Amino acid sequence: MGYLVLKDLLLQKKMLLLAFLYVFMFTFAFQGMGEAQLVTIISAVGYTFVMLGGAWEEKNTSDVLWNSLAVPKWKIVGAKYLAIPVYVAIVILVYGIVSPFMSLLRVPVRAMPLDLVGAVLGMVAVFIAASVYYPVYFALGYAKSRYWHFIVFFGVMISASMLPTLFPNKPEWIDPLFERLPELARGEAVPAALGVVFVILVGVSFFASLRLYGRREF
Amino acid sequence: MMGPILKLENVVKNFTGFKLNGISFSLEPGYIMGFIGANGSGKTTTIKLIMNLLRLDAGEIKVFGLDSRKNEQEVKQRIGFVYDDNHFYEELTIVQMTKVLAPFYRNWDWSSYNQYVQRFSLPAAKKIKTFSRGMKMKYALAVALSHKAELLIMDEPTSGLDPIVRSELLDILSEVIQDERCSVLFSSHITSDLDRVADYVTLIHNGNILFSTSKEDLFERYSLIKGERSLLNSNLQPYLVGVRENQFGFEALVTDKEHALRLTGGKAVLERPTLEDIMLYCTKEQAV
Amino acid sequence: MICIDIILTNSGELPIYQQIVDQIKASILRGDLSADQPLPSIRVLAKELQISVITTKRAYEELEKDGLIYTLPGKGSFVAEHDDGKLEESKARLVEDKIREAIDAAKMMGLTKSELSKIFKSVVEGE
Repeated sequence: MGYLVLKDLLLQKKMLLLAFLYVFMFTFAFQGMGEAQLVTIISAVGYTFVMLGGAWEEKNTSDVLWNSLAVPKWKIVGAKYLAIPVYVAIVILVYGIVSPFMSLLRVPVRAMPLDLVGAVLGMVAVFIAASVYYPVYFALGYAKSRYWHFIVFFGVMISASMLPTLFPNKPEWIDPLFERLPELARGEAVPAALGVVFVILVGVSFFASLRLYGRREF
Repeated sequence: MMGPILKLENVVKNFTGFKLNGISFSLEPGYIMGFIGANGSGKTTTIKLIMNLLRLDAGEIKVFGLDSRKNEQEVKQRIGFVYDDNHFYEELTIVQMTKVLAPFYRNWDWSSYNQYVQRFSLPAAKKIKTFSRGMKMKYALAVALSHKAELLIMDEPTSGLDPIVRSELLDILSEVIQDERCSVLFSSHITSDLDRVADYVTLIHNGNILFSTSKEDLFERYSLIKGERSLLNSNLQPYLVGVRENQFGFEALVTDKEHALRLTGGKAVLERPTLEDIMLYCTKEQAV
Repeated sequence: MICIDIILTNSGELPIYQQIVDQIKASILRGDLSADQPLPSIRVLAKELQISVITTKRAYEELEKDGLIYTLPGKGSFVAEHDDGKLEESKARLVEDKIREAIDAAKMMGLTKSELSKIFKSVVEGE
């Protein structure tokens, strides 16, 4: 499966360049957002790459290739899910370079510095967005799922940008909470429950995608 | 492995406007089967059903004695495929593309692959989108022949290629078949290619198999007969499979050529038909 | 491996396997091939002549039936022993068969025996 993810990266070699571009653009676009800026940027760019990954497959009619090779469908579908954290990691890395770079150059734009909360929330947001998008993508193919993609995209953007209004003052417990996340997952009920919900969401999405993809004909 | 390497039994597939009507045929190991028919007759559909890219509505397909659906992965490990269109990633080079797909084949043979790449003079560092049609086909062939495949499935591999490349492909197939464990299913509407190398021929027309037999049998069974139009009489009718008349005479495909010749009083001329003749006349008759 | 020439033609009616049989037979009868010499495998022959392996298989089966070659499983086919007496007999028989074909063709076209003899004489004299 790793090779399938490698293929996605090879195809999107220009991704690194694009990542810099998008991050830059979105930083300008969302500079007024304040706290939510980081999460929104990571979500938007990360999810865009998830979508682009699908575009490449369609362009090359590669479904015919992978389904003619001895590759089980769960690997084809699984690789796309595996690619999510890879994409987001790249975006976070790029942001980590761009944001201090911009302040170094004294670019007149507010760019929130990279922090753990933002990064984790961003990763979660992309996972959620992709989990909602993928079943439709696997069921209908890239071209027919475009509308759905945009609905999800804007949904993500709007919710991410609404975060500051929902949490007008960043509660003091947020930062230490995220720092203690790993040990909390074992102990506290609420974050553990949320974690479980998250895993269930992605799991359900994966099995739905697999089922729907299995029904397709090429 | 005893028994046919490929066996289709009463395979049915429904589309709006087209239907595969319960087709059956089989291929014994060690031979090349030419799968001929006009465009739209069902060749690609049949191949996609074998590869499980389309779902069977009814019937059974067995490859290497295994069910093509239940043992899909095992079957695909041992099949090499070359399709009409390119499905490899055009943005990648063949080095990258092969690096990504080779790990999925248990029996991948790098030395065999490298030999073919060299033999075909395929550029390592250029994107696949810069390749000519012939080069793309050769790449697909190099991949198909480099994992010890026992069945080669080719869907119109020569369409759009010049005669030189076509001839090269046929030479390679002849080489490949020297190993009796390998078999080839080769679909094409260019019958002249198959005239040369095919051992068996299966003709499909409008979703039906008109015949599936050895080329030897076919040429034993059918002959072309040509002569003056006056020679066409009703006694000849039962032996005729399709007739073509023009101002100057007639040409027809006949069964039992000796008898047919006698019926014309020896005045007509017998000639060996090409696969194309056989295909044209057999399908013409169907249309009537 | 032997070097014999096998020239096939697509025009005319003679089936390809028959052409192979005739030419190999002729080589053997002429003495070009000696006993126990190995013949090319059916697959190699098919590849070289660019024809189906089923055709070459059939040709070899015919030759074996006529006692001109023998096949050892796993080893291939070889020219069979033949004595000269039998050789002459076979030669005669081959020519007889061909003449009979000509007679059949003449009959079909309604030629009489004397017409046929005349044609035969002129062809032989012409050679």
